Amino acid sequence: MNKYAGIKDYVFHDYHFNNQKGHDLSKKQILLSELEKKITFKDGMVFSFHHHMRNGDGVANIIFDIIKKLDLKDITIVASSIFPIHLPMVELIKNKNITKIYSAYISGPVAECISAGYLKDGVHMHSHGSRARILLEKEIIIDVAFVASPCVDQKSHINGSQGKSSCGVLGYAIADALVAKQVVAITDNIVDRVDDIEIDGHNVDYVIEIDQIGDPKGIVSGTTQITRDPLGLLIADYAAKVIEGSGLLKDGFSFQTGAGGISLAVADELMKIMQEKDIKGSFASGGITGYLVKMLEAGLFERLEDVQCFDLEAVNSIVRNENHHKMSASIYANPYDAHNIVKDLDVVILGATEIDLNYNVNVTTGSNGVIMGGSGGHSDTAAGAKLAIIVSKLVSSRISVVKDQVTTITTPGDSIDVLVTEYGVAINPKHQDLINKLKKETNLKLRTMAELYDIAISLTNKPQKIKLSDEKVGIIEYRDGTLLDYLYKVTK
Amino acid sequence: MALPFIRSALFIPANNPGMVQTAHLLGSDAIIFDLEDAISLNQKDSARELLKAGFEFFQKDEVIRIVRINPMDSPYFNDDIAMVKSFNIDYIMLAKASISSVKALAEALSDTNIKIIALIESANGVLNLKDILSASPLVEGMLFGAEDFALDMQIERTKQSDEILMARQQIALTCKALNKFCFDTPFTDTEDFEMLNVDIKKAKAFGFTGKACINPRQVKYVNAVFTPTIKEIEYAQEVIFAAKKAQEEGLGVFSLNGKMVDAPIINRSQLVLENALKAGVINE
Repeated sequence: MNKYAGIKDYVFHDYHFNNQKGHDLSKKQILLSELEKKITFKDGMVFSFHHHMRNGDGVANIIFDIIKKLDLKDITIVASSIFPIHLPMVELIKNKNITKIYSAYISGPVAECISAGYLKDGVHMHSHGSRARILLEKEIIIDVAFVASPCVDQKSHINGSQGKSSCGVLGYAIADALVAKQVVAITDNIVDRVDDIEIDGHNVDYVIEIDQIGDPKGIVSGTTQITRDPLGLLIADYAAKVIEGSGLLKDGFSFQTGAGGISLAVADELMKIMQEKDIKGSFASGGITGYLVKMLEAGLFERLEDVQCFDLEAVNSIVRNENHHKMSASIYANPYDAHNIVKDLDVVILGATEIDLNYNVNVTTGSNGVIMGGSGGHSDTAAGAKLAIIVSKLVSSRISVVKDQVTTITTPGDSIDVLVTEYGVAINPKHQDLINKLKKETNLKLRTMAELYDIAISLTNKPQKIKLSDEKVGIIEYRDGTLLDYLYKVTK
Repeated sequence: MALPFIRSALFIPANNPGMVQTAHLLGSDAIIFDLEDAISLNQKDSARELLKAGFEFFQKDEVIRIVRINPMDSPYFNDDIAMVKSFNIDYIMLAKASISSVKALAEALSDTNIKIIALIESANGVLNLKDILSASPLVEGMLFGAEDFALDMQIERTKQSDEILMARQQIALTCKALNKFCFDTPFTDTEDFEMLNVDIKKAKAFGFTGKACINPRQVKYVNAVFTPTIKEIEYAQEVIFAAKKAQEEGLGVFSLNGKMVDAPIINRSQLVLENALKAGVINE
């Protein structure tokens, strides 16, 4: 797989100005009840949504109501992620109103419905970077992008960081607004002027004001917390030692981590080391949490590159810190975007549902084979970072994370460098230099993946293989567009 | 007799399967599986059974296994001994140790390889420490339980621990004289790591060889303080190097950086290097 085949500079103006209405909000603002007259809804259309409202999203379900009311058929949904709140999709899938889905992450009843085989034309799962590529390369044409917009101004400009439903940044919606045939902004906050334009008013066809575009409780977590689990803290301690031992932790260090408790504990450990050794990093990226904000404000990083805010602290920071930058999904992780950030990462901390003897990782399906997540930025950052570290308990709820073979490949093992567990650290054999260095300079318990597998099996016994049918319910596409794996119907 | 290298000893309730299974991973030099205070009266039997199954299933690794049993004046003492003596463990920790209870336990363990750690948690225990530690050759060390000690003394426990100063110093002195290891009392505020650090440093300064922990998050702080520092190791290496040279030259006492070095300093340097080796901070 060629990670960066076909790199080129996107000239975003190629995609702009897909309407002739200019900026003026007064010419674009319509009532929700008028939408069906303005948009010629018909069978076979493609609608897109971003997921910055996460499980508090109040916008997509409005459109699903319209699909149901008009009994539209063969609709394709291009949603950057799908959450349990999108339950109304299930009925539409079963009735063949929605027959195809593109997404980077799906959890809850929609995921279960797809795994049960109800989605007629199957699901196309990709990464966040891949989604930007697919849209900007026009591999799929969006008819209407419905953009949940925390703030719209009198010139129809949109941003994500003002208003009662602020989500901080709209990184995943930028490509949609650039390429969709029509863009409908749905907002609960119209102001005179937005401070920081993320989507230019020229790209917006219609603006609809409603009472509430989302439930703030579901949009971001109040606070994200480091784990208090002693084993989780132990894993974080080992991971920090791996990073320190790798030699990458020096001035200019760049870092990404998720919002999971162990991942945050790694950030906490790194913060202590960086303070102690007076190390100043260049940037931290990705979904941003309060922990990374703390590191920025402590002077440990020069800047944050933020595609999505994970907690309230990050939302507040993006307004007050000028070095807390917003970025689009394309700038974040599109392999065809010459400026993508992930290729400049030193270290990324990631999770895994399963990892196999060849370091392939599954974060898409659960131990029962049912879809319960997806890549998000997993395979993008793993491919880009110099050191992609998986942190996970070896055994959790009597299930081993290490398998002889993963159920589904979300991220190919070639791009995974290290697995850190409470029973020790496995380093991809391709990094013999790192193995030798850590052996010499640290007292970490270095093991092979096979040794970790054996330990896990000694604790859990060998699990029975999941029984999946031969019927495919979808594909997993790698970030460069190649087919990575299939998703199969789960038998009861 | 060389004392075992135990910087940290972590208490784990014996009735928690998840913790029993993973305790050895948490970085402490020893685990104290607790059958006493952490176990409610109606779970004493099941806790013993769980430990038995755990020790049968999990192979013993480098972590030292200790089981704290109930005191002799409790109804669980004999049942505890009867079952625990068959476990694959290194030590039994005897709650509220006295001369008579140590002797009783030692007799019961005479056909095993298990040794004894005395838990000293009363005024009498502190005063009679020398005799308790000498009551059987199986007794290799002790733990100071300051919470029960303060209760017995009817004094208030504080984070500064001025109220147990004399007891601590007397305990460390006695153990040193008898060549027994001594664990300091656990620090009970599991969120205050700053004062924990102060407390550990005090214990080390008094002569304690290690400290008990009641939360896994305390372990790394205890290990850090009781692990020889780079400065200590470098000085010890200098001393040993100079001692070898002096020996070759037939000198008993010699000078290093303007200071006299004799046998006690050489012995201490040797111990520092041995402990650094056991802690994994230097190689052979």
